Amino acid sequence: MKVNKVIRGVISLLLASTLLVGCNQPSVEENNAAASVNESKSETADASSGKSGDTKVIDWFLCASPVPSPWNMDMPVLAEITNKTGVIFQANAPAQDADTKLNLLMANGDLPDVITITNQTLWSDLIASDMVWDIQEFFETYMPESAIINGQFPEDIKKALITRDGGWYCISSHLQSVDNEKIWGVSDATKDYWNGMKTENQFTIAFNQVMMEELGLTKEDITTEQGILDALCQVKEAKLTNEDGGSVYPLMIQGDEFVPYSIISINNLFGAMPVDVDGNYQSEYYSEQFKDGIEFLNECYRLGVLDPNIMTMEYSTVNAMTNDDRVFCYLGGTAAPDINRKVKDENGNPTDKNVWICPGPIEWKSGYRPALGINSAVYTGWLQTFISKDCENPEAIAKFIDFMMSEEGQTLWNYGIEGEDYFVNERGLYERTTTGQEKFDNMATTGVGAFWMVCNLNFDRRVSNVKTNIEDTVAAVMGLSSETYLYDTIALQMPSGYIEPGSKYDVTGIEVSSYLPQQLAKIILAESDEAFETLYGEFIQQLDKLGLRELDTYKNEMLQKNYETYDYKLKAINE
Amino acid sequence: MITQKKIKTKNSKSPGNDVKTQASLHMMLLPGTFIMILFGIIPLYGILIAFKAYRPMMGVEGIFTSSWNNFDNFKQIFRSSEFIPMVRNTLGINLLGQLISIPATIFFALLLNELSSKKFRSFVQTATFLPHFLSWVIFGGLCISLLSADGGAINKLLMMFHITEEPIPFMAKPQYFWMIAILTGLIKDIGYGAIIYLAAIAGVDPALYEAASIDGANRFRRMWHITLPGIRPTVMIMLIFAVAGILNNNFTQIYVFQNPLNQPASQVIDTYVYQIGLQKFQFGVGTAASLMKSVLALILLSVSNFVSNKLTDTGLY
Repeated sequence: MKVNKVIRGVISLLLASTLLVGCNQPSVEENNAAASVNESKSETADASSGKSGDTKVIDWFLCASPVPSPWNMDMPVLAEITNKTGVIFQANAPAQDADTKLNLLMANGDLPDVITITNQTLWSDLIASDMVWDIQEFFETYMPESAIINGQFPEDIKKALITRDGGWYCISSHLQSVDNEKIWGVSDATKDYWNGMKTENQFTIAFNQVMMEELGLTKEDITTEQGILDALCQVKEAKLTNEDGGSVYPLMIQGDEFVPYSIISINNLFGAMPVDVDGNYQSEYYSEQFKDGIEFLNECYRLGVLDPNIMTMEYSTVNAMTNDDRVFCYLGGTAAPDINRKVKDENGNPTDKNVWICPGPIEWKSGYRPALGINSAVYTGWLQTFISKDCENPEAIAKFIDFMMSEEGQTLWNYGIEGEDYFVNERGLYERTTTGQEKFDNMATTGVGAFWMVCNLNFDRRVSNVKTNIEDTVAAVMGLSSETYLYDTIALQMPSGYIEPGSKYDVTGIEVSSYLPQQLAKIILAESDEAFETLYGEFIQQLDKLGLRELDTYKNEMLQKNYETYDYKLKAINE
Repeated sequence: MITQKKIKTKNSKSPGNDVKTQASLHMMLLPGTFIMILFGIIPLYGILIAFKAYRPMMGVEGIFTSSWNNFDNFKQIFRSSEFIPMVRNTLGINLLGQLISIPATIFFALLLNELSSKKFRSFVQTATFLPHFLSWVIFGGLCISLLSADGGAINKLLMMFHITEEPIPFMAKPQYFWMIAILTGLIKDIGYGAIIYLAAIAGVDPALYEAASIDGANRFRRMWHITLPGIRPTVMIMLIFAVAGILNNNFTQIYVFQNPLNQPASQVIDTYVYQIGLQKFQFGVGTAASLMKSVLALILLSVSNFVSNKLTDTGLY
C-alpha cells in the first residue's frame, strides 16, 4: 500500500512538471520560424564571405503586403536585401483580422519592432500612447545621414502627415505628390499615360473582352443598362466555361466584401454623391442614385445573372475566379484581381490585347451621370509604417528603410536583378523578362514586388514600361470621359478624431457598418418589385433609427467649414 | 455493572485526516487547480473593463486607471439593433439544438448498447467519434462544400432524386441556418456525447436485465423500463449543463458558417462579442456582453440544479 502511495505521488509530480514544461514550450510555428531564421542567419554568414555575418532580425507586423515569410535566403532578391542591409525581415502578416491582433498586442504592451497598418483609429491610438517614434527624431538618432531626412522624403507629403497626425510619425506607402515627382522625375515616354491616370479610380465595372468576342458582343453593346442586362443574359444562356470546365459567372461582385467595395463602384457608376443638391452632407444611402444602383443589382438577381452565393464567397475566392476566366462582368475594386492582364497567344505569350475592358459611362435608364471623387489634397498613402519605441535593433531598421526607399532598393524589390529579372529598354524604361514576370506573379515567395509599405509611385511611374493605352486601362476609362462628373473630395475630409471613439456618433458608425451587409443583401435578393420597395423602405427607416441622419448633420458642420477653407462648394450632380 | 467504554473512532470528516489519507489524490488535482487559478481566476480582474471606458492602448494598467463609465457598455448592447436578433438566434439555436441532440444522442447510445457484434460496435463508435477531433474550420469547410449550390454533393443528390429542380443555396438563405448549425453540430459530436451515456449504461446492474428477460420483457421494454431510468441521473446532469449553457454557442462553428446573407439568422452573442468587442476595438462592450452571459448562466445553473434536485434527487451539488 505504501509503495502504491509512493508511485502515485511520483506520477503526480511527473504530471505537474510535464504541464509546467509544456506551458513554456514555444509553438510549433514559432519553432519553425525560429529554425528558418536561424538557418537564414547562418546562410547569410555563408553567403557574404568576407563580412562578419552580423545580421539582425526585424519583427515587422503587416496588415497587407505579401512579403515572404519565412525569409528565404534562396531567393536572390531577399538574399541581396540582406546583403545590403544586414537585416532579416520577419513578417508577421495575419491572414485575417490584423487590426484585431495588433490591438491585442497593444493591450499587452507587446508591440512588434515595426508596424504597418491602414486603420486610422489604431494609428491614432499608437501616436496618442507615445508608443512610436517621430520619424525625424528616429533617423536623427540612429542614421543622421539617411536620405529620408535629407530631402528624399517629399516635403508636401510630410506636411500633410504632420497636419493629419500632429507630427511625422510614419512612413506612408504609395508616395505620390508634386514634390515627389520633382524628386524622382517623369519619363517623357510615359508622361501622357500617367497624366491620364490622375483621375483613375479602381472601383468600376469591367467586362471580359475575350468572352464578349466569343458571343459576338462589341463595346457598344454594353454602354447601356439594357445592353448590359442583355449581355449578362446571353452569357447565362450560353453556359460558358473556362479551360478547366468551370462555369462562368455572368456578373461577379466582390464576395462577402461587396459592402463596401462593390457599393463604392455602384456609387461611382450611378453618380451617388455624399452631398445633396444644396451641398449639405448626406450619406449616399439616402440618394435616389444609390437606390437605382441597388435596383440594378436586384434586377440582375431576378434575371438569374447574379448568383446569391457570390455574397458568401471570400474575397480571395472571387479574385481567383476572376483571374481564372470564370467571370464575364466584374463590379468592384479592380486593384486586386489581375485586371490589366493581357490575352495570351497559342504559345502562352502575352499579346497587346487586354482581357478586361471598361466601356466607360453607362447610359442608365434613370439617366444618371457617373460621378468620381478625386482628392486634390496631398495623398497620404494607403499603408502607414510606424517604428516602435521598444524596437530591438533601431540602427538596422533605419538602414533597412533607408535602403528600401532609395533608388537602388526600389529597383531591387520592384524589379529584381538586372539582366535576370528585367532589362532597360530603348525608351529607358524597365521591362520584366519572362523570369522576372514569373517572380513578380509569385511575389509572396520571391519577394519581387512584395514590399508595398515602401512603394513609391513616382519612382514606379518614371521607370515602368507601360504597354497599354490609357484609353484601354480599366481604372482610367471613367475618369477620362467627359460624361463623368469629377469632383474634389478635399472638403469631405473629416479631421482625425472628429468622431471620438466611444461617442454616440462612433457607435452609430459601427452599428450602420454592421447593418449594411445583411440588409443590402436582403434587398438585392428581393423576389419582386413590391418586396424590393418594402425592404428598401425598412432599410431607410432603420438607418434613421440608428442615428445616421444625426451623424450626417454632425459631419455637415465640418463640411460647411471646409467649404470656406477651400473656397468651393459641392452639390449633387444628379437630382 | 457493565460500563461501555467510549470507543474512539476516526472521524472521516476531519480535514486533517482527509489530507493525510488522500495526499496523492490532492497532488494529482494540484496542476489542474493551479492552471485554473492562473488562467481562470486571476484574470477575472479584467471584468472591470465592462464598467470602464477602456481602450487597448492603455495596456493592462488601463484596466485599473481608465475612467468608469458605469453601465454605458451594457446600454450600448441593449440599444443595439442586433440585440433582439442575436438573443433570439442564440436561444433558438441552443434550445432547438438541445431538444434534438439530447434525445438523439441518448437514442444513439441505446442502439449502440444493443449491438451484439463487438467489432461492429467498435467500428461505429470510432467512426462517429472521429469528427469530434476535427477542427470546426475543417469540418465546417467540408460542410460548406457539400452544401454548395455550385457542385455540392447534397444538391446533386437532391436533384438526382428529383426532390428539387434547382440547387438550393443553403448557405445563402437565413431560413436554413439553424438547421445547418444544429445538424452539423449533431453529426460532429454525437459519438462523443454517446460515450457519456454508454458509460452510464454500463453501470446499470445486469441482473435487472436478466430479471426482466425472465419476466418476458423484450428489448425495447428493457430499454424503456431499465436502461433509461438507470441513466436518468446522467441525463439530468447533462440537462443541467445544457440549461446553464443556453446562452453559449460554439463560436467557431457559427463563425465558419456565417456570411452577410445568413447573418439575420446566424448572429449570436458570441459572434457579436467578436465583431464589436474585438474587430471594432470596443473591449468594454465585448466584456459587458460576456459578463452578462456568465451571470445569466450562473443563475440558470443554480435554478436548474435546484429543480433537478427537487424532482429527481439528482444534481451537480
